[in-house]
Amino acid sequence: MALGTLEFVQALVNGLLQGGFFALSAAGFSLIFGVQKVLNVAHGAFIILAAFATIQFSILVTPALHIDPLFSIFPDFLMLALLGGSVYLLIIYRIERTGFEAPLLATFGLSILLEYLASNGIGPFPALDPSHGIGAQAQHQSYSSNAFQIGPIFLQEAQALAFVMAVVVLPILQLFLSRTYRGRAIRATSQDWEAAEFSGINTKAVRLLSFITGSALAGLAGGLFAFTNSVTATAGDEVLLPVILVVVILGGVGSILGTLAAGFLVGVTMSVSSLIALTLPSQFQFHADLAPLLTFLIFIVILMVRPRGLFGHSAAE
Amino acid sequence: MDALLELDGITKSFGGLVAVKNLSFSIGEGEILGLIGPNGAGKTTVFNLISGVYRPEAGSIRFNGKVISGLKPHEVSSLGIARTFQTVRPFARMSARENVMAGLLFGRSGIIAPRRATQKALEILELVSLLDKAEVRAGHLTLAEQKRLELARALATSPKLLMLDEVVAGLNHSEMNAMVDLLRRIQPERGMALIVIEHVMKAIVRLCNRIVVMNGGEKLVEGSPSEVMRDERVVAAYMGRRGNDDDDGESTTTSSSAPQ
Repeated sequence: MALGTLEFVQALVNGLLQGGFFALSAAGFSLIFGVQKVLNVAHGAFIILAAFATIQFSILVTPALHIDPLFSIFPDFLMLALLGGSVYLLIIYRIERTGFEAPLLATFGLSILLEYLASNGIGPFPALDPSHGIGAQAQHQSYSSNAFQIGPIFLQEAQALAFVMAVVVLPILQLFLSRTYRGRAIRATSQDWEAAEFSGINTKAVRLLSFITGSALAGLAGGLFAFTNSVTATAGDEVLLPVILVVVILGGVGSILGTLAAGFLVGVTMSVSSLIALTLPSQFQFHADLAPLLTFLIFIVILMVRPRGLFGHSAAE
Repeated sequence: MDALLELDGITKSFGGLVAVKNLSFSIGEGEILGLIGPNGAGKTTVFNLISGVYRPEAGSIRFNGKVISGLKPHEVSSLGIARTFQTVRPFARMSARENVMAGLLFGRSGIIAPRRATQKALEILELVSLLDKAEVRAGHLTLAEQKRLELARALATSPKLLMLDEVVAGLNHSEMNAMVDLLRRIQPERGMALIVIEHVMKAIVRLCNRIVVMNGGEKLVEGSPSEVMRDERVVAAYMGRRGNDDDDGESTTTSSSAPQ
């Protein structure tokens, strides 16, 4: 099969849409790491939790009230904001002063707990029916997995929504950080929390705010994930977290617009490299599962040239 | 005397090491107090205790008659105590103006509107001769400029007490003189008290009304600059030995230059 222009453009568009989702998934992680140097490795599990909530919504609320399940991203946003706030106050706040390792281990434990609850259908998680395969997906009424067409190009609705969310929400977040009173407090805290304290900033409140915001973004991403992927209990760690790490490091830690750009770059690279994998002459063909290799290769090359990421700042600045 | 800040029997240790031991001193409104002593004497720990980084194990700290030991640093800041750091710590990825605005917006100036804060920040930058660097990233300023910027950010919180941790260290002779002149000019204007940690004796003598000398976490001597400089115990502490271990004649001959 020759590589046609149309297929290439379609792959490019798919990549951009997918990249928007990646950016949305990674932004909260990047914000939290930038502000309080906590690697929230439960971020993937947070996204999956929101995805399951959306699936529950599509099973329980949609048939009863005829609300499109896409609206569940708003309760997801609130639920994860609440979860993030609780996790910060009950766990992270008590241990973050001890250094880097304790919050890392704590959030790792939290992700295992969430995965355990999800795979056993405990608490808010729907019981997964094994006859439908290992994953679950949001059940739609009217919209289903709708796609619409612009010219010859197909766009999947939920993916397009993730893209729109990313290009709207992330610049707003950037503006919030650079222009507003609380945004200034967050930036000051991320640059030097002690100096921020002595300037009169309540850094505990700032860290709480950043953890809530970062987690709420995971809620948005998770709600949308449920429409485009089959959701499994461990998808957070297996599918999302590696990509999130790549996007955050490529974009430059704590840089929201960098995260957005890196999301697009990773999305397009993955999508185009899968296409190339499929269209190479048969003797050169490789399995499509190897396509992520190309992404990581590009990732490594970029970091060799620019160790601080695309939009990161060097330590000296 | 109605003291602005009063430390009463403060003790703080780290593991087995006693960093500050039963320390008491006070400072009145508008006074300039020097805090000196050899490295490891516990001077910076005193700043950290006053500003709320550490909580004293024993003793109390009063500011304006109110106990402040146990408060968080931002709460201490909002009462009117500001500080600078031994190694400069501006917000490196903000402009000089934004650094000062942080002190204004979050300190006790009461200014919240960005426009007023901008205007006021430029006034303070002019005071410390950094107006032409207002839009330069703090990380790109020279050390002398970063020190003045830190001072400006601390001033922006409208302190009644400003604690300066080695504010002239690392500066050349003319930069040092400029900094001392600046402090002598703005201190009475703003009616604030200063506590100055310093190793450079010329700066201390030009600035301070009174000096507290610390050694090994304890107060060794307290008095006017000239009294302190003549004190044999001070000289011995700086020379790293007890005065009576060696013959006294030797330590007296080095006394005039030793503390520098």
